[in-house]
Amino acid sequence: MATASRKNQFKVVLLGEGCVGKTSLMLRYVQDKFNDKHLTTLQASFLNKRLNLDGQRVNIAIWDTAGQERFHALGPIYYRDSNGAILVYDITDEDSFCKVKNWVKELKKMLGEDIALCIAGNKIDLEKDRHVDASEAEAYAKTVGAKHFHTSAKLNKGIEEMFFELSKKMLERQEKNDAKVPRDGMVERGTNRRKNVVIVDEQPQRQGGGGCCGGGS
Amino acid sequence: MSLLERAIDLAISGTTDTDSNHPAVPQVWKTGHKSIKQVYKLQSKILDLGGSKDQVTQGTFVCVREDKESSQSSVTTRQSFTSPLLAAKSSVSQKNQMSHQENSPTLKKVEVSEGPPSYPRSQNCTCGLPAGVPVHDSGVLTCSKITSASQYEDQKNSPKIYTNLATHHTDGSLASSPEYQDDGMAPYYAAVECMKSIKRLTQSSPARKIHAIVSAAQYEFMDVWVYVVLKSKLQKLASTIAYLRQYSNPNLAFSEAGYYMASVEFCICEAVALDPTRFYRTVCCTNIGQSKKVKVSVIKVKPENTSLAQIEMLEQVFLCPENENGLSCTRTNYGIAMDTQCGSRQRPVHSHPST
Repeated sequence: MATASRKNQFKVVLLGEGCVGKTSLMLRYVQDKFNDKHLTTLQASFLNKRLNLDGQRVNIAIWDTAGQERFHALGPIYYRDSNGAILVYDITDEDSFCKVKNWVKELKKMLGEDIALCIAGNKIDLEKDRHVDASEAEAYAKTVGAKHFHTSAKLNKGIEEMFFELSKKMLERQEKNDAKVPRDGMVERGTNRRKNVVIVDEQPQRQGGGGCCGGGS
Repeated sequence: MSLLERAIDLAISGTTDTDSNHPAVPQVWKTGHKSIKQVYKLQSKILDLGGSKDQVTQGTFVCVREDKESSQSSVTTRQSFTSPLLAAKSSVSQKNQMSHQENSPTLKKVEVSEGPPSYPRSQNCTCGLPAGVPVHDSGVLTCSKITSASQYEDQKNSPKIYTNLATHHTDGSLASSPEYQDDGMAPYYAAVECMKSIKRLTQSSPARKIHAIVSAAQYEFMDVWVYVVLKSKLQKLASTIAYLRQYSNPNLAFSEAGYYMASVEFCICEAVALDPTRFYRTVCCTNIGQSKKVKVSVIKVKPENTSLAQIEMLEQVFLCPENENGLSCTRTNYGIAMDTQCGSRQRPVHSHPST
């Protein structure tokens, strides 16, 4: 499978249980809109956001997985190839936090360390109904190497910071990966068909081609 | 219910109903039967409009705002899948909007546009009619819908409907073979047609196939997507998607097209998984009596199509603690294989049918 290779282009998936506010987070961040009456996602499922990070232009494609939680086949198809994931839970709903743990487990198992994680405790405007312990959530985030944020789409709190932080993380990863490529050489990049075609001249490409096809099938 | 009946009576007043005159028929059965029959009658009336079927089922203001085309209909189509409450609200507001034009001929058309019976999802079918028969939660709404549906006949001669039809493609006009043509009333007709065009571009590049997907993707709602994909009756869709994944631009992941491609892929998985017992049925281990014979089916699961929860569930139900049941499991990149060692079996394993 070819991997995407555009510089400073990142794919971010929003994951979490239904009605925790994934779409609200996304809409607030990209369009600065908030709708109190938003029920379940009917549209707005994909949005692009450009931002400037330390002088670097970064484009993040945000994939919302709204309304699809109940479909079990959802996961792998949507988070495949993503650079970052935002795991959203509702601070008034303990169950949604458990779901986040499941998502982390699944992402780590399927994508390994390739993905930057952020955990968002959403709806902090409903602080009085809090059912998920803040310190517990933060401690958990730390153990899985994710950043934890308290967010509220309604009050527009913590969202900018979260996406900013996530973008920074993804940039770092990209730089790390770019630095790794020349040293690791062709074997590691064997799955990256496109890269092979571009970089390598004909002779080695044929040799690598066999491995590539074998890996792909 | 009584409102609904009255509405139906109103709608078909003038036509004779033999059932209602039959004394021996129980009342409940009679009314149930009657209403179903009426609905079918109305359906056939609507079908009488022939080529206008797509217009009819798409729920549409195309009739009213004549110069707007498919983009307009996509907006209104969504409404037919929103909750009945919203639909009721919107229909009321539409009526209000149009009330100042009471004397103009367009008013009738507005009612017509509300008439199209959308096929609601099963939870909307509360009137005791079979699924698939157009019904609505609210009796009042049904009334307006059915009466307006009967007005189709009056509208039959209206040239305006036909002018609008000219802008719409049908199966026949796109020259698809008869076996793939739609004979039922199909909501989301336009989207289905767009999806079908993937097939027609067999020879062409990934970019054009993806364009077909994107043009079908005005309907992002997942349930609709699954419906559209199923209804487009595409052959070899899975391999098409595999082809696209392999050969399309990998940077698609950063664009909307990639998102919709993933959605189509997801729909395939979902369509395959429509049978909820499928997963459970594959694994069946029985041991009858005290014989050491154990029948084992091997399941192969592709990790990329299976969620972790599913795999874990499988392991929990059938394989944990490992080997205790005489079963062990090997997980590879290509799937999970199970095998059995009869000797080490300690307790029988039963198949777990789904609930």
